[in-house]
Amino acid sequence: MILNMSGGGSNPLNFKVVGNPQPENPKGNTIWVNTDVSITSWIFSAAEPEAPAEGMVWITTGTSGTAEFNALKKNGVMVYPISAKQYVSGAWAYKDAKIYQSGEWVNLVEWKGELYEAGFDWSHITGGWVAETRNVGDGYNKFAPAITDNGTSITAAMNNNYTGVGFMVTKNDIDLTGWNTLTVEISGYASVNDDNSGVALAVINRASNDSNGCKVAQASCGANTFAKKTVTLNVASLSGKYAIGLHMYNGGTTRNQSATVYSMKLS
Amino acid sequence: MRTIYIDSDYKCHITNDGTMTAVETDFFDGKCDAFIEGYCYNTSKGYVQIYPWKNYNELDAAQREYERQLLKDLQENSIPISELESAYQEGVNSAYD
Repeated sequence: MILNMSGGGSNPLNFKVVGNPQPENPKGNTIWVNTDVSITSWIFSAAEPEAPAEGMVWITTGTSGTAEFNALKKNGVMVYPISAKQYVSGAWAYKDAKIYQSGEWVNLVEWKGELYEAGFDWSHITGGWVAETRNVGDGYNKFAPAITDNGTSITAAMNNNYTGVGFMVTKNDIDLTGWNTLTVEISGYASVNDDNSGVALAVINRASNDSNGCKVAQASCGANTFAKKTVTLNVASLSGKYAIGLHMYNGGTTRNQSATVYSMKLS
Repeated sequence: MRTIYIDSDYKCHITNDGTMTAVETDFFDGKCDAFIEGYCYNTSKGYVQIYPWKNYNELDAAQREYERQLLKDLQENSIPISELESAYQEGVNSAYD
């Protein structure tokens, strides 16, 4: 089923799609897409639109979701939205979106374990990504990596300070109960590819202020310059909430370690 | 840094039964034996994954108990400051004898 609209005329529809600013007094089934880019048209479809135009919003649909609604004022066409994307500068970018139902905003985007995906940081789950430091032992230094949003990826970079230790993690703790695997698509520049690696996918106990002791689980991501790859970490025996992200350590003669994350998710 | 031993299922051990692979790691610095032996050190994918195979809450409880006992031992065996001061002064005084 495909619904789309890009013009005026009588409106049989039971919803509307708007961008920023978030409406203060919305009608029921108002879909607010958190975007500052002008929405030129919208489409509800399970399949990717074949000929998107700049500014088009694509509400992906499924057979179930957290925010189902009847698309028509008369009769019924049930729609199950599951995510929102907008065509910006020639590419689809995930957008946060909510629908106004029963007097409150409901997340349109059904979370399936995503923590970062092609520019979308799932901030209503993760709180976004932050740089952190923790206490280090003698001879080491704290260093919060510089975080850069590249549009469809995110980079954390250390400086040239030998033995600097830092983290890029979710601002919010994530409940790992019921999840089995943490997976990241990542490229970067690191020291050795062992458990003392310069770049490690890590699950962090935020209550610990020790740079080594805070790590509950980790997976080394690569050695020297490593191209985009997939790294996984078994989290099946973990329950409860933890910070998730990268542990970075400028070890040995390899400094300026960095990592670019393209996606990160739980499954 | 500590040497641990990995079995064929990548589970960690603190002693080697003769069939295990020794690895050195600082991941478990300060951790008790019960904590360490609830972990895997898995290299099957060409990189190192270190993760608990036992319920982490149980391992964390064991580690907390270990740390409590360490603190208790330290407190019971610590030398009172006054005795340290007396010993120091005695040493100082003897230098002028």
